[in-house]
Amino acid sequence: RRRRSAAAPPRVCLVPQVFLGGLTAPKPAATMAENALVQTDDFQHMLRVLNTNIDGRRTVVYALTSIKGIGRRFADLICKKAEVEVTKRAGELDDEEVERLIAIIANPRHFEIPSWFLNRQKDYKTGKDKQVYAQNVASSLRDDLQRLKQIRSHKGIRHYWGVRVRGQHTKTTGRRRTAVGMA
Amino acid sequence: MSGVEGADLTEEERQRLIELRKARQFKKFTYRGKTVEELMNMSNEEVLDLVKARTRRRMLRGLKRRSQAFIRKLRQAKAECPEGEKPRPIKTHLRNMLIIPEMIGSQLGVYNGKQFALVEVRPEMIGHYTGEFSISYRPVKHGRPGIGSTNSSRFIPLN
Repeated sequence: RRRRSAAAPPRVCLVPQVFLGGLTAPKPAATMAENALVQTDDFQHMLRVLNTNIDGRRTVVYALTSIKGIGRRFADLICKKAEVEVTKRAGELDDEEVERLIAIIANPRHFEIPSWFLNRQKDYKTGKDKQVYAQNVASSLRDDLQRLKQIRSHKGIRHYWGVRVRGQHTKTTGRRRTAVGMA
Repeated sequence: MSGVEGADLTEEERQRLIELRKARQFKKFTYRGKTVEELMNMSNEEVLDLVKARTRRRMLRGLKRRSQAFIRKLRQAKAECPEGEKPRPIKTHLRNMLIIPEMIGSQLGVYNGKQFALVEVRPEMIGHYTGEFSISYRPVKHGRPGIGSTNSSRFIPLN
């Protein structure tokens, strides 16, 4: 009979610890790491990374997307490069891991992130490929628009007027005209 | 000292003005890491690496140069003009001409259908088209809406 194997698994108390009225031994640290449902004391509910607040309760990858300039794909990649456990919650990250992530965000090409992955390639002024993040996103957008306006290019003029830039028909659309970023 | 009329400038004073203007350029312009001097000395092939895809494609396809005469005129105008002054404007209907480093400093008159818009080529304009700087329509200033503009006003009797 194959059902009863020679080395039978040890008998385990299958009743959850919770029901045993509180007289259980404290959980050893090993299972705490495995069991992400249990909070440690140094869990940070909100981190501050790169001048942005990050919700600690979310998984690392998705928490990092709160930083401007970092989306899901990029966050996933930097976590892999930083060798951060992707199943962790953001609040569980050590300072050292956060430092590693920041280093990769600031210098992605160093860590073998291909240049086609980055959001500002062949930068207008320096020609380098880089990732803009946090406040740099807004300021680099502003620089671009500023440049277009200064050279009086048609695109710049449309931005200045607050009108659609990319050749769309404006006769009937865009009636609920909100503030302009890129049209 | 600085309020001298242009006609009365001696050679020495003109030279000083030129030096002053050069010294005043505080913001160093770089196009993808290259300064203006480097750009103007580059060959067209080297410029191809710097520009964006659309520009590159256009340069590759258009290097047989439909606009050679225009470039030649620009060069001539630049050569003719004395230093420290702007070259005379060259008129053109070529709105689809790319602005390359060679053209920096020239003055173009780009046709917008009716007039020649004066464009002084600056290094920031590299990679754009000449037509971008000469707007071809008058921006809309809405007046009172006429009869027939809305559905309700269509049947106003004509007395």
